[in-house]
Formats: sequence, C-alpha cells, structure tokens
Amino acid sequence: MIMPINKEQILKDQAMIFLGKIMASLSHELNNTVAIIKEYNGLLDDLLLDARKGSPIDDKKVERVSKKIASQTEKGAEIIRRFNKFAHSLDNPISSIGLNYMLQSIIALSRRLTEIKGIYLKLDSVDDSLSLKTSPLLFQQAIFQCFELFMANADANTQLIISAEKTDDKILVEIAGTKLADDRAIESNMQILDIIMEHLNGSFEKKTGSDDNQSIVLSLQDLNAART
Amino acid sequence: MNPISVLLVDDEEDLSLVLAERLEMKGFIARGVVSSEEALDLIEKEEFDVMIIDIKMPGIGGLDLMQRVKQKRPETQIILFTGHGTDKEGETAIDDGAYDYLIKPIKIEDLIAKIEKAAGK
Repeated sequence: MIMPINKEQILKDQAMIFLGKIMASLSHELNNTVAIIKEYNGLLDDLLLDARKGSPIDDKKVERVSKKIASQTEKGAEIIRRFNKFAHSLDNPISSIGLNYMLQSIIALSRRLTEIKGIYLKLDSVDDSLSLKTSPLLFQQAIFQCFELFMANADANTQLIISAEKTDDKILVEIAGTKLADDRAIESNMQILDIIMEHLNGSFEKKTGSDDNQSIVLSLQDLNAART
Repeated sequence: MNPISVLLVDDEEDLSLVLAERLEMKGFIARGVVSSEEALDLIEKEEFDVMIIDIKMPGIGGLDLMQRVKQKRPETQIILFTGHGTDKEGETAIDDGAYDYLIKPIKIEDLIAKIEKAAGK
C-alpha cells in the first residue's frame, strides 16, 4: 500500500535529493582532480624509472608536471572550500544571506551538473548590499530546482542568466534562458518548486518573452522586511 | 608487431593528455581529446584499435559516443571510464556494448592490461 505523502514529507525528501545531487557532483569533481594528480604522479615515476635506466632527465618536463600537480591540488582545495561553505550555509535553518554570495555559491555548486546537460550558468551583476533573511537550504534548493526545469529541455550551448533585484518588500530572482520543456514533462518539478516557494513564503511565475525564450521569476519574502 | 593505437576521450583535458603521454611512454600510439565531437571528427580520418571514453561528458555523452563509434568503426574496442564508486554503471555499459570499464582513479597497469586484452594482444 502506498502511503499518502504530504507536503512536509515531499519537502524533506526533496531536500535529501538536492543534497545528494550536490554531494555527488562535488565528489565527482574531486574524484577527477585526484585522478589527474595520480596520473601526473605516475608520470613522474615513469620519468624516474627511465632516468634509472640511463635516460637523461628532461627537467622541462619535470617542471611542467610539477606545475600541473600544484594547479590540480589548488583546484581540489577550491572544491573542498566550496563544499565546506555550502555545508556551513546550512548551519542555521533561518539566517541573513548575502544574495550575491549565495547565488554565486549555488551556481558554482550546480555548474558541473548543468554543463553536462549543455546549460551554462551566468550570474548577472547583483548588488553586493542585497541581503535576505530566509532559509538558506530552501533558497538554494529553489534556485537549483529552476535549473532543473531548464535542464529538462536543454539544447546544447544554452546559457541561463541569473539576476536579482529588490522591490519594496520583496526580492525577485530571475532565471532566464531558453524554452522550457512542455508543461507535462516538467509538471512534477513545478509542483516541487511550488511547495518550496510556499515554505519560503514566496511564489514563482513562468514568463515567456517575445522571442519565445522563457524565464522563471522567484518572488521571495524578506523575513527582515516582514517584521519591520 | 604494430603498436596498439589508443584514443582517449575525456572532458578533463589534463586527464586525457597525461594518460596519452604515459601510454606513449609505454609503447602505445596514443591521442587524447576533450569532447565526443572532437573524437568523432578524428575517427573520420583515423582508425584506432581501442577507444577509452569517459561516460559523463557535456554535449554528446560517453554512451552516445560509444554507439556512434560502433556504427562508424565497428572494429574499434571501447573501454569506458566511470567516476561512480560502484560497478553498476560499468556493468550497464558492458550490456550496451562496451568491451570493459574502469572506475576512476584508475591504475595504469589495469588500463594497459585491458587495452592489450581488448586489442587481442
């Protein structure tokens, strides 16, 4: 017998799915970095073996390999820093977040997943002073959910532009890009976004431009503004 | 005996290039490219005994590339790279026609053994 699922349960399940996807993506990136470091290290071993057999050491090659190991190590450290920042962004269920920082973070975390589907993310300039008191988890989940809506109908080399602005008492975040898949294909994703936005005391709207390109606009309540 | 020719396809440029370099040092003829599109262009002009293909790549993915190579160059054997920590994805790839698979990070000895076996040498 299938148990009836309420919105709270859907929200919890979707949060776990979101976290799983982010962790899978970051660990995949890290795994690739480790694989590259391992191969460059192996190349140094090969060169050493050749040198022991009497071949002259190609110091230019050794220098190039050393630089590659250093740059890949830095890349790995950057992935770990990104992972750590994301983990700490979830320390408090509700907190004040810098919008620019938070959008940059979720874009960096999602990049590999979207690019595999041919979607390239670009953050439009967002005023550094824009902040929002909200749930960091649900906020990032809502943005990611929008990416997924576009990924369902991704043509290769499509760019999504993410922008944000403040109105009187609301923050609007727009994710603009190509055409979305037809409604039936993204129905369940839309329902999930609807539940997330409801929990954020916000809403979303699907817009279609004159060139047939579409965007999703998230309207978010700033809990700071709501109290004043 | 002619050396075995190998084409590596991985969107991680450093990985495809360093593996090609290591294979060259061990007596193979090896090339590395960073996309399926580039690989498809290359196999129009050149023939390879074995192709090593990463499953997850932007644009044309590894499994799709494998099917296209099988049509264009049915004699080329394909070994897939998977970043998944389990065997499930690789076993599915074998069901789809891959000769074998390896989980990243790989051991060069395992890669060489699989290439030689795939090429029948």
